[in-house]
Amino acid sequence: MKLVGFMDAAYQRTAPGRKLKTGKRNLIFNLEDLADQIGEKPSRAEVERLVPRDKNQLDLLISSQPGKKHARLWGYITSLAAECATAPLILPFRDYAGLELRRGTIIFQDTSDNSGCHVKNYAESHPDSHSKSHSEIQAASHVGERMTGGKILVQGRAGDYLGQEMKGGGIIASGCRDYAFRNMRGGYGVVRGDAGKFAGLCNCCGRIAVLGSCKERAGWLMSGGSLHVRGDCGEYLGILMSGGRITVTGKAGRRAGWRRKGGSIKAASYGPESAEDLLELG
Amino acid sequence: MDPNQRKISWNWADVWNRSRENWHWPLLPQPRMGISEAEGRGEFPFPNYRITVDQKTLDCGPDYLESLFDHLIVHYIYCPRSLEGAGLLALAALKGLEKPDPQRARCLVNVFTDIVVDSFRLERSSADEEKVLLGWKRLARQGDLAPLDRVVLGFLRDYWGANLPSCPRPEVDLLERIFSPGIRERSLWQRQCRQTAKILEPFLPGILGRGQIRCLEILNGSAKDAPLSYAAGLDVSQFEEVLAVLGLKSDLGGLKRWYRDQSYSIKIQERPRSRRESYPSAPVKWRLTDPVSELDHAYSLSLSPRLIPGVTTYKRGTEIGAMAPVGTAVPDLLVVLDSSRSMQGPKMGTKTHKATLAAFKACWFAHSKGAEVAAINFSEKYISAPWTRNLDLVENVLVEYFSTRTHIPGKAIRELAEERPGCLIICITDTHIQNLYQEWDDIKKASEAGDFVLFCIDQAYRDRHVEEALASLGRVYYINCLEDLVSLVVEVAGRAYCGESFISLE
Repeated sequence: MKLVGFMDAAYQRTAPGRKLKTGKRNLIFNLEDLADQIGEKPSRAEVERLVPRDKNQLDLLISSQPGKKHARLWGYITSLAAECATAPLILPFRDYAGLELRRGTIIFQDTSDNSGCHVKNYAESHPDSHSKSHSEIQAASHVGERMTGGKILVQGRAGDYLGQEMKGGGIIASGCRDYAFRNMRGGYGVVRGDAGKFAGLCNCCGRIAVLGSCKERAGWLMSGGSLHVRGDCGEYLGILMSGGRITVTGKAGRRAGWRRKGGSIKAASYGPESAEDLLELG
Repeated sequence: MDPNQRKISWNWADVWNRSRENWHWPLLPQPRMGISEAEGRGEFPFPNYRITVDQKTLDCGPDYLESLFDHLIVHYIYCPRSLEGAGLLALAALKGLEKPDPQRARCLVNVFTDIVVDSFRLERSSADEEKVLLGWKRLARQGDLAPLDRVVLGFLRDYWGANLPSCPRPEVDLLERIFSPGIRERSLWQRQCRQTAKILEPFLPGILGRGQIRCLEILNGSAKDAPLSYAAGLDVSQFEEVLAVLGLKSDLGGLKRWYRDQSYSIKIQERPRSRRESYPSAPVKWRLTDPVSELDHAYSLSLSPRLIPGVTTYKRGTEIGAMAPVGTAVPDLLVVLDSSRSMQGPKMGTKTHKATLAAFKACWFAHSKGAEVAAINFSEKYISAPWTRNLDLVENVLVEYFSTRTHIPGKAIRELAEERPGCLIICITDTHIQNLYQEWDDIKKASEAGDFVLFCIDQAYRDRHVEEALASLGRVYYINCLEDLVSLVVEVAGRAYCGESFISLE
């Protein structure tokens, strides 16, 4: 007697039942479920280890509402999704989007802009994402933080800490608030409009171009890289800088180059109490 | 008894046996006839005995009854099965709820376990599938279905592919996603239960999910004593909520159980010290170089009529080896616990928490070794438990928290210590004792009567004079890190009751 027959006889097996349809066992239901397993502030490696690189799974997690609690997790998921995607990924604009991005392209679409983008994107398949208010779009901070590659296009005004600690890749935004490209180590950042305070704070490598104007203390403690501003700059431009290049096509505010130890500052004109060894553009 | 009822009871007893046979004769007590919970309290007098069938259920016929019994049996043998499993699901449901409430959590745990149990039965065999669907179709026919029931029925229709009423709500799809990995993976149950609770919370209440959570310990009446290992990871309020979901709220609000269940996970690995001694072995030759006193005349002469040294002379040989430890008297244990305000109260990680946990474990260990235990819990006033073998009594004293000033009751300690000379006195305090010198004589006498071990928690407030004074009492441990307190207390208790010991915290 075969083992199967023996077991059937022993357990008086009747007609076998049907198997229910089952999906993947490692499915993560939502961001809360993910946070339960790895905590609310995990590293990228931990997220990578747990989240399968499956389009449906990533879409499911991106469509969850992260709130403030799971913003970092959501940011990591957007990066993983962009790295897996073959086409640019279009996403709703939220905090920590593109966190530690390595490759791929993410477009954060402004809802007011109906430009003809034909790529297959998240926003098309999730109409809820278009219903975000403009104020929410503007409030998204930490976009592209610690990214090492890839591109991020922000079709709207970014919040604080745009491209903070980025080491590679590039970010193009229509505008940004304070602390843009803080502690930048590489890559490039383009702000097509105005930037807030402290742009390029502690920047030691990489290139920043602001096509509009900057508020005060741009290039503060800068030790390398370049900052180009097409408009005007607020006061204390390049304060305490020790390296790198700052070029301002417009006017610099007062006390430009205050306590500067190195690097170069060029501007069309300077306000009062500026350092003496600054260059004026012809 | 009414003859009609007797006839019916014979029938349903057969059905029960058939159900048990279907599930390979699980060891469950026979159901009893009673009034349904909706109508009133069951006739059966014990509240822990939950398998009660009422007349209304019997009227539904033997097929439905068999399905019901199968369903109940699978609850007891599969999901949630044990109190531990039920507690984990309760915790998950509480986490999933926006407004955590024991009643709602219990209801949602029941709904979740019902889905798991019936999906499991459905997959088992086609006969089981028929029985499962019989019960759900009967529910679907009821006129007073609540939104919760409709959503669950709609989900089961899609999940099982069964002929049940559909429900167009988006929550049905969400539930399908939650159960898409299947129901057989136990490690997923907590996550699935939490998400189920989150999805179904807005639809509460309904017909589904009523009644107690079904698990073996509650059925067998041992739920009060079954340890819940996850207590160590929960704050007391969370733990009480879980107990409330399980319907196990005790008079002391779960605090005693919280400490007790945590102490279960602290293991004391015993290493009794074996003694090495010589013992007599087989006779060996006595030679002229051996002492004359070792010569065994009687034995040698029994083997030969003449004693020829080194030839017919024998002595008793001895060997040295490990012997079983000598049975020693077990010292009784007196625990003196500070519950003043500076001990911070019974919250996770506070001095009170660690001190009480250590005291619980020490008491339990001494008790298990046959010692009698006494306890004093003091602040500005004090309460005490006399020398007893009743651990409950001692634990009731230990869990009290007075939260006033620190006045050590020297006289009470001395009286208890003098009742049991040689007892082990474990005193845990943060040494902000305001009446130390007034009570000094009594404390000194108590330390002379027993083995006094003092654990001073607050290192920052160490006073040189107090330190010198305390050192004369006996052993004093200054605890820099609160985590060490439990280890040290257990170490001391372990050493007193089983020689060498070391502990492992899991």
